[in-house]
Amino acid sequence: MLDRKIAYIDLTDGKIDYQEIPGDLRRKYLGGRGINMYLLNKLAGPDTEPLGAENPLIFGTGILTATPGYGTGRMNISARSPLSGYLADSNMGGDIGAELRFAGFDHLVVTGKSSSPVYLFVNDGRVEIRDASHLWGKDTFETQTALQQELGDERAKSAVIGVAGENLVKFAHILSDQKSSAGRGGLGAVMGSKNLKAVAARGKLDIRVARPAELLDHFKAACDGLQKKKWIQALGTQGTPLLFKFGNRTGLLSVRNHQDNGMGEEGRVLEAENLERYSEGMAACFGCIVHCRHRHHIKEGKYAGTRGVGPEYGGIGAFGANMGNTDLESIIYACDLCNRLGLDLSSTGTYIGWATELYQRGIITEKDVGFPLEWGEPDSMITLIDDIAQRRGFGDTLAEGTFARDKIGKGSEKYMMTIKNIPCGGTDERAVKSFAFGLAVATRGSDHLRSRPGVDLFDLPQDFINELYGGYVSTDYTSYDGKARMIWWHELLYAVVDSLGTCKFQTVFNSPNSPKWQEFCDLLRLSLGWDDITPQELMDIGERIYTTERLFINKLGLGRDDDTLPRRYFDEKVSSGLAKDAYIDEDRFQQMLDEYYELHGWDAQGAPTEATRQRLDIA
Amino acid sequence: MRIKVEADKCTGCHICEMVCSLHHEDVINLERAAIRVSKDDFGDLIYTPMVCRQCKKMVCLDGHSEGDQQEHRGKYRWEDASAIEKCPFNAVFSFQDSVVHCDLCGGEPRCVQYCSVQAITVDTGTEDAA
Repeated sequence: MLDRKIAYIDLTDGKIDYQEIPGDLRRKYLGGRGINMYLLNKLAGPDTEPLGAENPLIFGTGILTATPGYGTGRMNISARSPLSGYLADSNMGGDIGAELRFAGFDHLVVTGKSSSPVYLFVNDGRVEIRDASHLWGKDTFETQTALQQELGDERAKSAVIGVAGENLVKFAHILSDQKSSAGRGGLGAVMGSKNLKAVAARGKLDIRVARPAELLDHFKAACDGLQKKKWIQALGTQGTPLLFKFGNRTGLLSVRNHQDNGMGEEGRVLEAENLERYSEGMAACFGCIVHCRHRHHIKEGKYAGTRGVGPEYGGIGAFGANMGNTDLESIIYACDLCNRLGLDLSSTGTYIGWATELYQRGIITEKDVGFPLEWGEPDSMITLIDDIAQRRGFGDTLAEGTFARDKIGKGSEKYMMTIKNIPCGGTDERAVKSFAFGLAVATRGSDHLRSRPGVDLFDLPQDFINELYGGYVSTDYTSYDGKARMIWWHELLYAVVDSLGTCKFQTVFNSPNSPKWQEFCDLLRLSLGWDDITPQELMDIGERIYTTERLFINKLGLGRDDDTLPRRYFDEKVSSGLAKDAYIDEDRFQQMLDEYYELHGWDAQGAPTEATRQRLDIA
Repeated sequence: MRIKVEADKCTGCHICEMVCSLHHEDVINLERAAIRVSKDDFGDLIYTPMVCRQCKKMVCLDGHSEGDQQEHRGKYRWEDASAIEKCPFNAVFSFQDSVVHCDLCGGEPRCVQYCSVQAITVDTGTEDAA
């Protein structure tokens, strides 16, 4: 399994260089996000233009991707972000990561710029650069279908961009199948800037494991145990939309661009039960027993014929709550449309929500937009989605993402909900201090997937929580006490999970008894023969990966002042649900930052100390 | 005995393929698996496990003696790639120069044991598919 290689592909001169992955690098960074971060920090810096040929676009499968484990269909794509100017790193599922491994590669590092559209074909130890002129202009579904036909193989999988990526929309995504996306940070625009339309993979190479029979038995026991868990059964039936009911009742939604935090009774039409009429079964990523995605089909009405995978809680938040929109079918359609056009739907919803608040306040008018922009009006929202991808009219302004605030001016930045220039999406975390803090300090900007401690909501026994986190953490989700520790611990865990290539839904995200350090050591022992790996070593690897990310964003100019939240979090209390009147106390927030930096071994400005770098052996 | 497929339950996770190759060949390689999930990712989104139906008369070995067919019934791999073309259900596969065929793991199909949604189950009825 450790024989998978890195391919360095220069699209300017067409040169491809294949290299082994050194064993000591594996042991320090595992794979996936870990090795991606090592490579990115080495290859990119302040002089790297996000849309310049020099920006490395790095694909990385986990060290356990495509093996029996805990949802091993995951991989990461990383680069310097054109959306934020800082870190773009996105974890995605589907089958493409597994197919890359079967084709012999764990990492692809793409630099340069082709003079005409191309795609990469990764096949049994070789990478070819092929003409993609005929694919340019096609949407993401058409592109993948055309590639399967061209390669004569329905088992060929690809990661592609849509027209949004071609048009360098700053929040364009990279998509595989109908749903799996490297969504955040504008990685699709990086791909577009290189004239790279797709990466297709097909592989027939063996993946060897250290102890096949034992691994099979271990996997069986793990699956049997997980399948008995109620939360796995719930996710496998309703998917992430099951969170909507709780989010609405508690007040964890962004409603009308964070002007409210709940939709009350009116929002109940967006609860998961109402999706069932469109669902034709669930879908899973490679190697996953949870199968948390709906396969939907709208058969009648305005959006008849809509067929795809999803939507997620994030999509319902982005195009439902955040837009004051209760038309569920329009939300499903909008999510699919973004996936077809190649747009990160979470960012798209944030920016359209922001524009709609600007319209509400008279900062922009019908003259600027070309049509009225009202809350709860799906037609204008859907028109704007298409306009953004095509860079048409006002859509061209919004296609600049966070930097659209510079184009519009007039105090519009006050209503822009971003952290480190990354949009906040369709939820509001003022009620849950750990959630809010996690967003503030996440290395890639507003990002729940760097640390979300879902278990903070469960009011678990104090002794149990203290033992889990290795120190005091309050069991009250409205408390600030110990929450810096909680976030630090989850950051290390998720850095490891993203480097193993396993899924966050099968670790301590929704359930405290889910697989974590020891279970991951067991997998590494059986799969790789790493008999001496310990939970402490894995935690150190997590710290090394996270600190490497921190060094990368530090050298791009980010520091303590950027580890913050949108002003609304501090200045305005939320008005709905159980969380009514919640806000973030700025003094307590600063105290959390001090605790958090100390746990990481970073100085008071959030820069890793020399001692920490030496301890973690980071060059 | 044969493996019964209910495609509408399949989630497309490929665990059956992964487990099949690991059990038979000690490696993970879906191309070595005797079960394959065909995914219609951009059409009707149907995922269909394809696996040998244990036909009484092995059409894939048409032209071979009955004894030969009996001998191959419980085999996981053999040479003579023509079998692939002859299977009317596209349920035997090739890997390198050999045929890959479901041997029911000697009576305890691993793919069935690991399927979390019972899209594949063991059918112990005496009815044969063909």
